[in-house]
Amino acid sequence: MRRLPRLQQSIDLLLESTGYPHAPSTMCRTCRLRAASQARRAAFSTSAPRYKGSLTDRLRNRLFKKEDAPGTGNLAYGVAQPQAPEVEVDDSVPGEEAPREYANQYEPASTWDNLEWVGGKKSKRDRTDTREEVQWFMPRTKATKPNDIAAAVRRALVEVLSLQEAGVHFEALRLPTVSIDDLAAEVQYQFSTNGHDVRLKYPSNEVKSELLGSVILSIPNAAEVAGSESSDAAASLEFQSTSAVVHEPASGSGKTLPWKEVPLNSANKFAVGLQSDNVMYMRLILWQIIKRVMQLTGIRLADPKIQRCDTAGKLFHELLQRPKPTKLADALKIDNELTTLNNVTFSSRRVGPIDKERQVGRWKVIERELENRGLPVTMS
Amino acid sequence: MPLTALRTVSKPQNGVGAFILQCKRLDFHYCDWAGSSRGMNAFLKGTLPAFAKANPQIEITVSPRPTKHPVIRGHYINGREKAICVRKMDPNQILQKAELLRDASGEKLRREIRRPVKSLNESVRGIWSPFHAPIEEKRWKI
Repeated sequence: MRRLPRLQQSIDLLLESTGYPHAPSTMCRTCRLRAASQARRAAFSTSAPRYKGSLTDRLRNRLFKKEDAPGTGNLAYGVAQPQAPEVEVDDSVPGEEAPREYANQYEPASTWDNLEWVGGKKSKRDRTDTREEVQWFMPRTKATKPNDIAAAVRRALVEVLSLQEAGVHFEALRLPTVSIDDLAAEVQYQFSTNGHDVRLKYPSNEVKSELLGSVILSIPNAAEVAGSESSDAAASLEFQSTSAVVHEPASGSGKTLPWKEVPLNSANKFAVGLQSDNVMYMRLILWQIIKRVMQLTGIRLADPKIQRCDTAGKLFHELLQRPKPTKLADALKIDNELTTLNNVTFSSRRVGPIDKERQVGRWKVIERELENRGLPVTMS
Repeated sequence: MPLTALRTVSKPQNGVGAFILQCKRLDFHYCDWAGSSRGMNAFLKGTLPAFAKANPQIEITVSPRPTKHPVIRGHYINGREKAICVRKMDPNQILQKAELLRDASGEKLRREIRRPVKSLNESVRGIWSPFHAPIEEKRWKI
């Protein structure tokens, strides 16, 4: 018959007060009391002892109403397995042996020196695998000064247009090890004779050779490029159109242009009178300039903004524009009208109870009292 | 010479000599994310500078209260606070609420049912006395 749970009797309370002598000191009070009550229950119990056989064997014995029922053991392979003694009285006091063994092995730590530290930067650094260094497409720091941005735009113009004039694939473009901003500032721009694209006017041949030498990584063979990039149809189209257009006579019309008026998106302007390859090529030049500017400045431009960049000057202004602030506090900081008022203060984060205490000068007193009492200070 | 009681010449009353605004601080709370703060954000950008400039005696604080409705909270010199939720309101409505809090005294709102009129001189005719009523009128018999 199954034992019914009973309420705690007064005799148990008396026994608990004496303590359980065999319980290890590492056990908590709840576990100690539970082990003591189980030990007493085993001592005073009048019910039948529990069988240690499997559940199926016990059910089979109940069905056949005898101890050695047919089919006990494993009959899956037709051979009965040798059985363990059927009835074993569980004499051991539950909850006593395991904690004793555990108590022998357990050694409580007094300090945290030898414990494993989980969390934090060091743990994260230890767990991260040593991956190869990834070469980033853009620098993480963004250029903010207008002079730097202007120099980057001029440099991108010179690099891309000089590659175009030299008839070299844009894949050959490399990051110059030395700054070519001074050289790029000396170069002038003028329309080509066909009036569709812009040519560079170098002050001297030395400047031209120096620029090309610093900009061009290697001049690949056309067949190599076509073979290596045969899978990429767009890339091969780029190169074909490059070679098709670049071999045109590159002579300027004579009239120089300020760098801010250099047309970038002339493909849309002249699309009516041009072949589709030439339109694609002009758009490729625009993309190369934009890409180069993004690499130099670290400023990412969205597609609608790129479409608005008809000239280098517009590109420069788009790069100068700061992104719209996402937080109202940032927008209010930009607006000088509120910041000049003496009676207005604004916070960029929520003002909590600690901030309110700090405003009235009470927080330092609270902090000192918390430290004196050894309590944690929530904000430093 | 009989001793005469001191007569009250004047009672202190706000606005008789100097007017002290009872509202000392206005807190504007907004949320960057919630749509109910759209009007509040527009108010803070557009209308608040003029309001703050027109009321230099009031301290104005602006702070976010993320994922909560926008609230204007007024602090008064009697130690009380009044808060008005301005969710889904446009900037003009919020300006009216800010002016309401600015002009409030900070006292609890209570209905005056028994004495609707407050006056320093409560009765122009004075206190009625049964001993001073005219004889021809019906005197009160004590």
